[in-house]
Amino acid sequence: MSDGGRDILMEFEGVGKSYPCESGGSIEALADFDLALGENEFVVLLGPSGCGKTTALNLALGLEEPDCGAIMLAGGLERGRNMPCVFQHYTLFPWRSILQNVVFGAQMKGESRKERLDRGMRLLESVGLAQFAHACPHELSGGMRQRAAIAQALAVEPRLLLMDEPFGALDDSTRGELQRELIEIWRRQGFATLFVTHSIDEALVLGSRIIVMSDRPGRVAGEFVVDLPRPRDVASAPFVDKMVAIRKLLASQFLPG
Amino acid sequence: MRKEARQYRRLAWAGWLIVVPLLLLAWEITANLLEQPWILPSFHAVLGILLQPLADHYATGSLVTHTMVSVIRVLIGFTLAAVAGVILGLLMGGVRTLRCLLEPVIELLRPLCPIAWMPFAIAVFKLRTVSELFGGGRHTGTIFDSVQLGMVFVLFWGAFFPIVLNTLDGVGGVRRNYIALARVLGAGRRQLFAHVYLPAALPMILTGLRQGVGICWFVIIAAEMLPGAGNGIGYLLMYAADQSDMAVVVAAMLVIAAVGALFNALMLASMHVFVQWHGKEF
Repeated sequence: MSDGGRDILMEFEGVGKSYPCESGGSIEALADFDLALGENEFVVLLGPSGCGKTTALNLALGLEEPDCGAIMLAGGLERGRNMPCVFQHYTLFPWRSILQNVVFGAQMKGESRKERLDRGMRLLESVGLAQFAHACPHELSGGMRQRAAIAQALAVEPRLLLMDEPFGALDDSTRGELQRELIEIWRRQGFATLFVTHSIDEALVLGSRIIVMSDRPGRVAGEFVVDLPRPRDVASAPFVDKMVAIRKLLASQFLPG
Repeated sequence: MRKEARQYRRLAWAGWLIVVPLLLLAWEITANLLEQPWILPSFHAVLGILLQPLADHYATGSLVTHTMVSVIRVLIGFTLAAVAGVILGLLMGGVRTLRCLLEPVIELLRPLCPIAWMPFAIAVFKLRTVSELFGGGRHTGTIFDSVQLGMVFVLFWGAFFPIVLNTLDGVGGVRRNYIALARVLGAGRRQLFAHVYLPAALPMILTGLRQGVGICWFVIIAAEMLPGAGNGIGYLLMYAADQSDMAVVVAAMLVIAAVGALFNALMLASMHVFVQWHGKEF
């Protein structure tokens, strides 16, 4: 697959998904949803809670199956092998040390103990957590845990990294710090990212492309290419212009009341 | 917060050093006023018996030998129940069909008091012992001569149900988040079981084991009071009661309580060692 010279890694085509609800009937979470994600791209899926963005992510991860439409993956891309996900909560196994958490994926692949522990230590060093290698997850702060979770995902050497509001539970300054670090890692390592968030700010700070979702059932309401240089100045005029444009689009989609 | 914790720890010590001695003193005074040792023996009389744990009682054995027999019986019955219960609990947790097939039987047998199995157990196993089972004959001179299969059978049922059900609950209660995380990191079905379900269920498994060993200790005392037993701390208690030797009865009661507390403390300690993370999820 290719799209104007850039190889497409993952593509949603007319994907629909609904869930049965307890009162009978069903809730349509996604309808006719299209999305294409290219090599090395940083795509942000933006929308308020309940718009189906997590459903889209779960479908991408293969945790759920679509009712209709198709999700295509480029050759070499395989669920449960090189497309890990950083979630918002329960991102680390509480019964494993930080290092053992980071090497989980490598252990599942059957990598030798010494090899994976060496690599795990290097990854922890790269996210500044080397001295916490043998700590338990509950001993770390929320920001450190998400850092460890990123290392855990990177340990499987992903070509596509999925992130489901990974910084949603962090305070502002920690979130800013982790956003900067994530961008640095992404530029250094070269993988594609599908990042789900409800924060317009976060979407604009991180994404090279922002996909705004419509109200339920979720489909694509609009798309914004962000070609501002990184690190981005949140107070600059072009940044604010984009923010206003996205806000207007969201407001038109999600009417109050 | 920390100061408060220290205060409560001090209070716990006060419980041991003040409340317990006060109760013992009240006991001693009451017994001396009552002067009816066949109803309420004095504390010092009971203490005298406890301080001679190797002294023989009624030519049946000492406090230590009787207690050892009971403990060995419990350990054998409990170990069998632990192995069978944990394995079956894990299997039922992993294989839905098996769970559906076995749940009615378990729900039906679980409320049955283990002691109710005793006559059946004696009918099936007669007075055969563990020694005989391993071809050693009835008199091998080891402690296993006193471990009747019938008792092991009853103990097994006592511990089996809490262990199976807690293991099953543990496996069933694993957070879907952890399963999703393991799957996207590449865990297959078997790996999911070994690296997510099993460790996540461990706190519940240990809770089941703790309940199981507690029930076993209750059950063995009752079982030893029934015909067919010739030793064990429960047997000693009943035998002494028949002699109206209440001092030995009370001494045996205190030993039973202490051993039960020891079992519980050991299980709690193993919980601290194996699942430090329990209750500290985020």
